[in-house]
Amino acid sequence: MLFNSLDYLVFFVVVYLLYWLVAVRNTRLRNAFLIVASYVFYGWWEPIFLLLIALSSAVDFFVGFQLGRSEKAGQRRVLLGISLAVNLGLLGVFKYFDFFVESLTEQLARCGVDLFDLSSLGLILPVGISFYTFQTMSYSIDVYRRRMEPTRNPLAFFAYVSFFPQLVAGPIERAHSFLPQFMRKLKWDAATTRDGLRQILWGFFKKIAIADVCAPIVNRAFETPAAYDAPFLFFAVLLFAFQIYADFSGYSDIAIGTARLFGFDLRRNFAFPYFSRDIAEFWRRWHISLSTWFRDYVYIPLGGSRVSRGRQVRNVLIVFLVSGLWHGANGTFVIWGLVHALLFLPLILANRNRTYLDTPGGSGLLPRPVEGLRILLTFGLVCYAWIYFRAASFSDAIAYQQAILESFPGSVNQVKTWPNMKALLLIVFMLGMEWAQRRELYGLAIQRFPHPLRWGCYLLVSMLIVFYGEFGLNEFIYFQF
Amino acid sequence: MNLSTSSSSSAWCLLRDLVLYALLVVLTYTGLCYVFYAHPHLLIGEQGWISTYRRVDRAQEALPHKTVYLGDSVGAQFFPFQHMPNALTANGAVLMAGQLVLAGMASEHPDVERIVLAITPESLLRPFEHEMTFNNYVKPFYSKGNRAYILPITDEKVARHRWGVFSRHVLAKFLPFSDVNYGWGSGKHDTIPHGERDVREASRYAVEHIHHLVSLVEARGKRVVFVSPPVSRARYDASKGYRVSRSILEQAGLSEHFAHYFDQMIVLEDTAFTDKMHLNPRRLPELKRALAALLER
Repeated sequence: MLFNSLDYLVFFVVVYLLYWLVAVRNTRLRNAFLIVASYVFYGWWEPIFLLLIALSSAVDFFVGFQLGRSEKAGQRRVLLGISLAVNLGLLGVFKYFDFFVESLTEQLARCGVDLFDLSSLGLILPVGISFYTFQTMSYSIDVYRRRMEPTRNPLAFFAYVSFFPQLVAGPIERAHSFLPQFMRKLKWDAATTRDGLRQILWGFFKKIAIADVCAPIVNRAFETPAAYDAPFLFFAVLLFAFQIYADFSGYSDIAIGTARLFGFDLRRNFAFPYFSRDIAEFWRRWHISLSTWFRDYVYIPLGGSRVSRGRQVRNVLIVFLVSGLWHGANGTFVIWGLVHALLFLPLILANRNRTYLDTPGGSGLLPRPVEGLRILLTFGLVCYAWIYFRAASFSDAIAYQQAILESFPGSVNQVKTWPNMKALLLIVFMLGMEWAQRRELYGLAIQRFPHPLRWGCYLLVSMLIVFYGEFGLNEFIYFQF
Repeated sequence: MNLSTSSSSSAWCLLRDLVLYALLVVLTYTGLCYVFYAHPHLLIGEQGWISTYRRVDRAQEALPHKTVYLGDSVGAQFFPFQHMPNALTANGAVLMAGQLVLAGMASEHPDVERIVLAITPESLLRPFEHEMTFNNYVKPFYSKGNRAYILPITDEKVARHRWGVFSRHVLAKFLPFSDVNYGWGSGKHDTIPHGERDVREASRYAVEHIHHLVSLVEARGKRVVFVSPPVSRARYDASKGYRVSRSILEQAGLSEHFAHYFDQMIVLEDTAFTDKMHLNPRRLPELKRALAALLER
C-alpha cells in the first residue's frame, strides 16, 4: 500500500480509530492488532511475501530466545549463524542471485566460456526486504553480544518487525530502543499527535511537490542524455539530488509522523544532509539508520578506526562498498559507494572526519561565506556520485558525463524544460524552510511559531501540494531497495 | 478511547483544529481557483496542464501577427510558446477539441491570416477517452466561456461520466487529481491509436473537430495549414505510412487539407528522437529549416 494512495487513507483512518478506541487498552491486543494491520498493509501489494516477513521474524525470535538460554560460545555462534544465514540468504536469493548469475554468465561469455547453462530465477524483489531483514538481524546480533535481553513476547517481536509505518522503507530500527516500546502502556497525547500530523504533512509535501515534480525531468535526461546540452544535464543531476532526498526523507517523515500518531518514536533518518560541510558530516546526516547500522555491525567489528592505516582504509572501503551493494544488485551502486569511500578516506586518514559536529550556520541567518562554499562543494561532490546511483548501468553513467563534456559550454538549443521554474521554486521553498528549522527534527517543526504564522505555513504547504504537486501514485524510490 | 479527562478535551481541541484546517484549505483553494482562473499568468511552471491556461490567455490577448502556430508537444519544439509570441502550441492531450478552441480564439483577431497546426498524426486523431483528457482538455478548455467552440459530442462524452456535471465549474479547473477520480474509470483508456481499428474508432471525435476547425477558420476568411513534424521510421513503418489515418481523412472529405501533410512528411531514423516521438534537441536547428521550407511551398 502506498502512503500517497486513497487505499492507504481509508486503511489509516480505520486502523487509527480501532487502535485508540479498542486495541490500545491491552498491550497484547494492541500488538496483535498492529501485526494484523501491518500484514494487511504489506499484503495489499503481494500477500505471498508475508511468508518471508513471518519467516524472518520467527527465526530471529527463536534465535534470540535460544541465545538467552545458552551460555556455550560455540552454540551461540551457531545460533547467530542461523539468523545471519536465513536473513542474508533471503536477501541473497531475492535480491542478488539474478545479478550474480547474469554477471557471471556475462563474464564467462566474454572469455568465450560457455561451460554450463545458468539461468536467472527471475524473482520479484519483495518490497522492503533489505529493511526488515536488517532490523531483525540487529536484534539477534545485539542479543548475541549481550547488549540486550532477548524478548519472550512473540507478539511484541512480530509487531516490532512488521510495524507498518516503517516496514517497507525504514527507518531501520534497533531492537534495544524500539522493541521495549511494544511492551509499554500507551496513552493518547494531543501534542504528540499534532507533531506527528505536522511531520506527515511535510513528508507529503516533499514527496508530492518536490520528488514527483522532479522525476519526469530527471527521467528524460537520464534516458537520452545525448539529446540534451550541458546546462540541462547539470540541472537534471541537481534535480535528481533533490528528488531522491525529498522522496526518501519524505517517506521517513511520513513514517515517523505516522508512528507518533500510534504512540511510537522512530529514530531520525535524515538531518538536513545537503547542509553538510564535508562528506563525513553528510554521512552523519543521510540515511542515518542505515549508516549507523553499518557502523555498528560492520565497521566497528572490523576494527573501525582503531587499527593500522591500511586496515582503516580497508574498513572504510568495505563499509561503503557493502552500503552501495545494499541499495541493489547493480555495479552502479558499488561505484557510487566507491566514490563516497574515496571522498571519505582523506578525511578519516587526516583524522578530520569529525570536524563538523555543530549546526551549520550556527545561530546566524545565513552561513558564513567559507562555510557556504564548503556546503556547496560537498553538495557538488554528492551530486557527482548521484550520477552513478541514478544511471541504469556504468556505461550509461559514463555516457551521461560524456554528453555533458561534449556539449559544454552548451548552446541553448530548444531544451524546453530548461529552466523549470516550478521545480526550482519548490526546491528553494523546501530548502528555505529546512534551513530555518535546521535545529529541529524536520522542516515543518514550527510548533513554537506564533499561531497565525504557523497556520499560514500549514496553508501554504497544503496549497503548494494541491496546485503544484504531481498526484500520479508514484512509488517511493527506496521501495526498490 | 484510552483518554483521561484532560486528554479528552485535548482530543476535541485537536479535532476542532483539524476541521478548521480542512475548512481553511477548502476556502483558500476556492479563492485561489477563482484568482488563477482569471489570471493564469500568476501560476508558475511551464509543465503540464497549468501551462495550457497560458495558451488560452495569450489567445485572448491581442495577436498582431499574420501567422499563428498551434500544435502538440512535438510541434511546440518547432514553434515554442515560450519563445514565439505567435505560438499557442500545447500538447497532444489537449485534443483537437482544445486546438479548436485555440484556433477559434486566434482567428477572431483581425491581423491573423493563417493558422498553422504543427501536429503529429497520433495527436491529430487522438480520442476523447484518454487518461490525460481531464487535465489537458477539460480543465483549461471545457468552460462556459468557450461555449462557442465546444461541440455537442464533447457534452455527450462528458455527461456520460460520474462527475461530468461538475466539469465546467471553476473548482474543478485546478483539481490536483487526474482522470483517475474523474470518472473516466481506471485511467486505462490510453488509446493513442496504434491499430487500424483503434484509429477508426478514435477518429470520429477528432475528425468532427477538424472539420469544424477548418470551416470555422475559413468562414472567417483565413487559411488553415496542417503540417506534420518529422516522424520516426519505426512509427511510420508500423502504421504503414499512416495508411489508415490518411484514408479516414480522405473519407471525411478533408484530403484537400491533408494532401501535403502526408506526402511531405519527413521520416527520420529513430536516433533523431529522444522517445520515438519527440525530437533530439540537437537536431532541431536543421529540422526547423526543413519544416520552414515545407511551409513556404
